[in-house]
Amino acid sequence: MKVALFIPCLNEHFFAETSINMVKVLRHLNIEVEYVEDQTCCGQPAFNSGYVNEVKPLAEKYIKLFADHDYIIAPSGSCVSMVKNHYGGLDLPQNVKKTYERLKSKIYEFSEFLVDVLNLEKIDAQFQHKITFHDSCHALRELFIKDQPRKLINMIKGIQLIEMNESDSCCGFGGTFSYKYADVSIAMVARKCENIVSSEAEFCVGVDSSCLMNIDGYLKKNNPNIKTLHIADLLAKSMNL
Amino acid sequence: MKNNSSRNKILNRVKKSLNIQSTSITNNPEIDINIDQELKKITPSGKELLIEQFRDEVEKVSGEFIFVPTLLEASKPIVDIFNSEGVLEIATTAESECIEIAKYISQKFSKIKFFSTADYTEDNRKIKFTDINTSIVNASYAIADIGSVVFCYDKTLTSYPHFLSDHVIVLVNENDVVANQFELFTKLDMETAKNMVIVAGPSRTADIEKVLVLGAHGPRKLTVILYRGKN
Amino acid sequence: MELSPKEIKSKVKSAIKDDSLRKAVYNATVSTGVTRERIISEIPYWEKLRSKAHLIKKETIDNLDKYLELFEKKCIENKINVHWAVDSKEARDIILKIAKEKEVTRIVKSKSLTTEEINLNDELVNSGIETLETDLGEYIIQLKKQAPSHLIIPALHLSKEDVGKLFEEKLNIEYTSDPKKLLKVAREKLREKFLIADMSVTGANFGIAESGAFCIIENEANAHLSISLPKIHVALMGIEKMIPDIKALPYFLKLLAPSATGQKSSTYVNLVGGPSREKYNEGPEEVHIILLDNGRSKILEDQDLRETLYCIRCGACLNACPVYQEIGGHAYNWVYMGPIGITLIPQYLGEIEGKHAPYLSSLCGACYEVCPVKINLPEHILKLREKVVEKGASNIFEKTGMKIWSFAAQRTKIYRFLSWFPTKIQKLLPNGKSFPAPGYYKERILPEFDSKGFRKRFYELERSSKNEK
Repeated sequence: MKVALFIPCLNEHFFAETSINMVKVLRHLNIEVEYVEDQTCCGQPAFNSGYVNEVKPLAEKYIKLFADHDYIIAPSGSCVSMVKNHYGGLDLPQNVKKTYERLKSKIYEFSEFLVDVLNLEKIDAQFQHKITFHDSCHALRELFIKDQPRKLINMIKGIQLIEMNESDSCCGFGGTFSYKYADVSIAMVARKCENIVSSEAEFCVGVDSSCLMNIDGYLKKNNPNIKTLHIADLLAKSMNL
Repeated sequence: MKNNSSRNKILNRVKKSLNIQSTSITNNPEIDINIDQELKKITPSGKELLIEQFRDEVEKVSGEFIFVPTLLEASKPIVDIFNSEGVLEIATTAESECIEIAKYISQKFSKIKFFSTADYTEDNRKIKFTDINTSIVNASYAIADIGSVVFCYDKTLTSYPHFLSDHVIVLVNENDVVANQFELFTKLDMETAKNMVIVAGPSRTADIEKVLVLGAHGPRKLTVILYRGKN
Repeated sequence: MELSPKEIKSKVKSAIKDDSLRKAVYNATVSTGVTRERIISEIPYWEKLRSKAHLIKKETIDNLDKYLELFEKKCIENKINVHWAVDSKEARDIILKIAKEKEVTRIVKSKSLTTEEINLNDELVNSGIETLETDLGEYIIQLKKQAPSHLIIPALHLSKEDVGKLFEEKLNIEYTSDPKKLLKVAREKLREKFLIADMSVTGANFGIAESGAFCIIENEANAHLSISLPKIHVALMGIEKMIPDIKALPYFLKLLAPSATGQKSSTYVNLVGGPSREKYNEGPEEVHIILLDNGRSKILEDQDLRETLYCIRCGACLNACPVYQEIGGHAYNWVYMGPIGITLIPQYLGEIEGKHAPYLSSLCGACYEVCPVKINLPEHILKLREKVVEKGASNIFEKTGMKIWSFAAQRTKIYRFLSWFPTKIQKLLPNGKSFPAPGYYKERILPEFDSKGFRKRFYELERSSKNEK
């Protein structure tokens, strides 16, 4: 099986290791991975702020680039949702739209792919730590990803998953919201971190680097003992890859 | 007709806007949705269970529930209430059920005075009935799944005893209990349904720190007396 | 009071600093959310109810002119006086005219957001008419001279101690913070007022077209007393509140109570179908209903945003919104707040004047999950952001940044060059790990640029694994 890697711009620039970990896990599961050259950004940051004209050409480029792949995997719920749920509303040329309709069903978030497509049930993994899980908004509400990451976590020996209070409450990032209404964003991430601390977990795990970056940024300043881990990082670490 | 031009302005604007077809961009729900199956599944089967549900729900909304086999036997718990609350003046509507009970109780306890809304009109009615702390009223229907009683003004001809008293005692005939609001509005004809009120327990508020307090501006206590038959 | 959402940004800033407000708001919204969840778990057909209500609203709004005409016809048959108000001013004028004609000196009001929208109270009071709010929450904020901070619980931002102090000062009573005792005081004071009022002004939750009747839903019985004691009853209702017939009503009743207050049913569902004095020898001689436009017909023009007219004002979106939870209602500085508020603000005020509103959201989608009539609020918020950009009203730096970003991202080589650049200069910055990102970094440490980036690392990995083989 061959999959195409859809690497969110945030991961490309800041969290390359997370995406490398995703590659390592996929290869370990005997999946062939291909990096689609020329990919840059799906356009989500611009789209969420209302810049539709700036997004359209990026969407066209993306659709053409990924058109001929059977599986497209991204370590991000929000990016996958952008393509799957929001590209459809853009005013794109007919032929591009046609290609898009075919592409839509082939794109997956990483944990979704492992559980729902590969039907992964067992892994040789160890992680003797307490963790908690943050449900990213787009993954949860637009892609309905809730069970898949938890299933993966529970496959790891020695791990203790403690559900935090309000795990499905927004971390406060929201893209440009994080600086447009920085005070509110900070209040929200502070509350999220309060819940993380109360859970007594050592790590906060999630499927979206944007959320984790936001949470990590606050934790580093206020509770530096707690670390964040993307699900790809957790799997790679626990599988010793 | 006064302000006809505003009427026309608004209607014309609306008509003009609606020339553009709407696109409800949510995930398109099914064209016709029917909840009859679900309602059936969730409705207790048989009168006994329905009444039990009604009782539970009345108590959940802080109402009291009493069952009596006949209408006239409602007099016993009613008199108990009067004695425990030291009540001597009772407000009633002019409905036959209330009058019957009132007469029956008066025969045995002459000290208790009943005041029917039929004997007062307009301003005299509101002045008199605001001072009476206890009332006996009759419900046209009761709704089991939300513990509510229904007063139809075409029958009651008033709402003062239902709202001005502190303690309202509601008589309900077992046969008038329906499963839910959907059933209620199939039973009511359109005319009757224009002037009515559905009541779930005593008045309440949680406006101060979300602390629930009973007895806001309406009744503080609501007692439902369900009777099987008139004899 | 005159509210204007133009000052949203500064109001939000001050709300964040107010610790006691934030505590009160958070506790109230979370507790309502919990009871809502519990009640909904007992209604297995909840999702179907939402879909059905959505469809009913769609049908009504898409044919609003017909339903309004039918409603008017039937109301008149029921001897209800029907008035039409193009805007706030006209609505106020109509109410004032009725009051003056009938020499009204005392008005009792039940909770009505629409009357707050048209800023009615000030006008009545300035005309020398005593205007008393009778809903406990509204009564409290009227005494405090504040605006409501929530659609359903107007005094949510006040603690019981706040209310105790307020009553002690304004009503001359001994201090108590016991909600039971405070309610008793309000009950006694207001009971007299109901009895001597000349006129009542209320809102209406639903207008039932086929019946020519309207519905008022409440818990305190203050609305009932208002509509059944004074001689004149005036109801103000937005034109979007129509439903086709009485059989549609139970769907909304079943959705409204759990969504608004976490109850299975509201305590009182009042149906008003005409003046009762003639038929029942009590209550109003006259009933008036004022159909208010005030921007609603304009919202109809946009075929997507039209959906925001389905709102039944339950407040569920406020309770679910993590932004509202942190700032409360006053920060929006308008009568409608939270997720529905930020979609209505630009539609009422204009896209440029209201441009800050649609950005007061992290687009988390919790509002859409709880909306009883399935209004896709996140989609509408996005659409309104698009309009801000379209009108050229967005921040110049942001606009330029986005244009550059898009230009580069379309051209891979340029993109790669531009992304390489910051990794080099990051090391030169004083706080090596932080980049200027206005506001973001106040409490958060920014991530470091990965010196190589994924693509380079990926190819390195490829080479090393090939070498191993």
